Amino acid sequence: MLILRAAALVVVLVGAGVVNLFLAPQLYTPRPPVFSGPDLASTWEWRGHSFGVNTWWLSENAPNATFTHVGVAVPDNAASGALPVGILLDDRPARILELDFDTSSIPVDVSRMPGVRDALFAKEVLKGNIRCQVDTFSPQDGRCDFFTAWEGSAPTGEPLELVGVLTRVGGDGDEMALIEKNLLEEVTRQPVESLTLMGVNQ
Amino acid sequence: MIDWAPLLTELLTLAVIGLSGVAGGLALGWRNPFLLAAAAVAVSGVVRVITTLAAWSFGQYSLMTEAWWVASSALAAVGVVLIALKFRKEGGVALLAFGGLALAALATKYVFAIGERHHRDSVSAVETALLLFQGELDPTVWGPEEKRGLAFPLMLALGPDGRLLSAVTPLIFLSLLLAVVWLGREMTRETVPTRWFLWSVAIVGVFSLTVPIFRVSLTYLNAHVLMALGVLLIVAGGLLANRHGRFDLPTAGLVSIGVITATTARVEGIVTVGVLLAWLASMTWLSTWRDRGFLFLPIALSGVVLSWWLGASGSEVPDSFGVSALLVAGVTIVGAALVVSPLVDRVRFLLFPLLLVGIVVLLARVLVVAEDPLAELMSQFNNVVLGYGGWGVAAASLGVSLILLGWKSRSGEYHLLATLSVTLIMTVPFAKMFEFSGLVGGFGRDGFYDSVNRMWLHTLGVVAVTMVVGFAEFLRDVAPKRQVSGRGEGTTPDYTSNRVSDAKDSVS
Repeated sequence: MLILRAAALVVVLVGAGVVNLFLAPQLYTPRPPVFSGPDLASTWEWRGHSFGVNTWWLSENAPNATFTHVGVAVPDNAASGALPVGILLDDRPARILELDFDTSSIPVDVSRMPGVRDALFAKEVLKGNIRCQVDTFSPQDGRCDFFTAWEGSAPTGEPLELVGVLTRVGGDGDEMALIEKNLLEEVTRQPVESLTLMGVNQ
Repeated sequence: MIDWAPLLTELLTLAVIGLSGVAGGLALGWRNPFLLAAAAVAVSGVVRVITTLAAWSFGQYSLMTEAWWVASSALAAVGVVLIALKFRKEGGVALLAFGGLALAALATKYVFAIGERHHRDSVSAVETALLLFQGELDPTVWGPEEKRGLAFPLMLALGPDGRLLSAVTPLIFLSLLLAVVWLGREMTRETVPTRWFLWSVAIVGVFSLTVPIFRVSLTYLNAHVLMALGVLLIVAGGLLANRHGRFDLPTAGLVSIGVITATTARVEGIVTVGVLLAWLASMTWLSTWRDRGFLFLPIALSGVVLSWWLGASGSEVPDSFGVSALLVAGVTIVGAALVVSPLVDRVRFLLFPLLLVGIVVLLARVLVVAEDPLAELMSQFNNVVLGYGGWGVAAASLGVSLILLGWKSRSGEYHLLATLSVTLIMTVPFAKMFEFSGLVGGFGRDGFYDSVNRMWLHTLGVVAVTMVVGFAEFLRDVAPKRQVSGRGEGTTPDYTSNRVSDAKDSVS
């Protein structure tokens, strides 16, 4: 009887081990280790969970950068009852690191300008998720795809001015970006001041 | 390409953790080198928690890390003297064992570059460690973060400037494994030959390695494994106290380290700690004032440390339960004095069984008041039976193994361990209930990201010891009889036993 139980245990453990290794859902895929907050924002598998630490990465990789068009507000021409729209950068790291946000204006909208989004994305230096609200009529789950772009591999000289931009609506999901001002003006061939702000019917 | 500068900084920090942790254990009267090594990170974590809370309480936020370095360095210096003069063998072996764990932990990050399972909770732990704790900010400006605990991010924050102490996560995991082996051996030393014990460790170890969440836990940035280590230290203290029929300083120290670790690892840890303290308080052999005094210590510490943490960090948790932090501390001290006093002796044996009945009744109530009781009950089915939560078929294998290992022929200590394992498993949804007003919910949802699914990890150490002991005894029984040197006695679960074994005292 004891031998039978022992044999049954062997079968159970070997069988379960095989199931665990080859049939059961796995949790681990190879990825580089995390040593710091900015690592979280820049490591591909963490991006879906790192919407609160993009500013941490920016504080290290674009020191003293200023951020404009990063507010949340009801667009000027929206119908009554419209929801406020915009990009929410004011996370906990941003508050601790005392980043310089100008929230007086909501992001500009380049989502309907042909080729602009792809041209900006070609200069992407960080991608992930960000808290946002794009639609003035229906509340969202508050998460958009996100990327940051600037010219060159790393900023040198003057601190960067990063502009909040709506780059995509619908399709593969809403997407917002922080784009270096000169790059944005070069790609859109317009000064930032003349670009349309996020508005109704997005 | 190895990044040497941060690696050497981490190595130095781990050396201080090891030396101070081993010294703390020696000062508490522990003499077993493997216990000293396995519990060193917990001892050091307790020093970190207490020095931080002290710094916060005096408004000296900028001294929170310096206080740990000063206290740990002093402890390490005491340790060097103690080891050199009196405990050369125990201390030397303990430091060697800890050094092995520490080097292996460093290698996971700096040599093998093993990354971590991604999770929003881990992001929170990293933020808390590097921005709040390494930034030495006033915790009240940070906002509520109690759920994910204090102890684990405090240890992470001991890394080089702007970086985590990355090796501490695998170190905690490896320490838990060493504690499992140590306690498993303590429970079988007199009854199972070494070879069958080692075979048992190999069987349980290899099987565990097939379980996805077990492998991920090596590097997962969350406090669950630290919680498991705290729980195992409490259980170890209780089992050894029960074996020897006395509650002395080494036992009180072991339980207290476990209590502080588990209480500050996660905010609902206090519920699990409370259940285990009820088990300790129900031991009927408590008779001398010495036993009672030493048991009073960890029970009182549980509430004092919790209220100190929540009070010093400006937490809103006490308010949400309609009490103040000071009241929690006061009630715990008075309650601890009452529960260890002779006034309770006549009903002492009922404390733990009554608590278990209470847990079952409360969990049943959750199901009764749920909109869909079956859905509530089955919400963990996908996680632990179908493996969605990363458990593979470990839960089913555990259940079948418990049946096949048998019950009548197993030792009393195996019975006690199995009883505690089941109790801790029930405690997981019970503890989760305290997150919800009205004590509802608690059974979680599908997937790895469900906290109930990850809270099963809190039982990891105790369940692993249970399996190691069960398999060791079973292998002894199956093997040819010539190598049998004895057998555990007792055939019923006996958590209030006053049996005093003549086994070698391996704590003190």
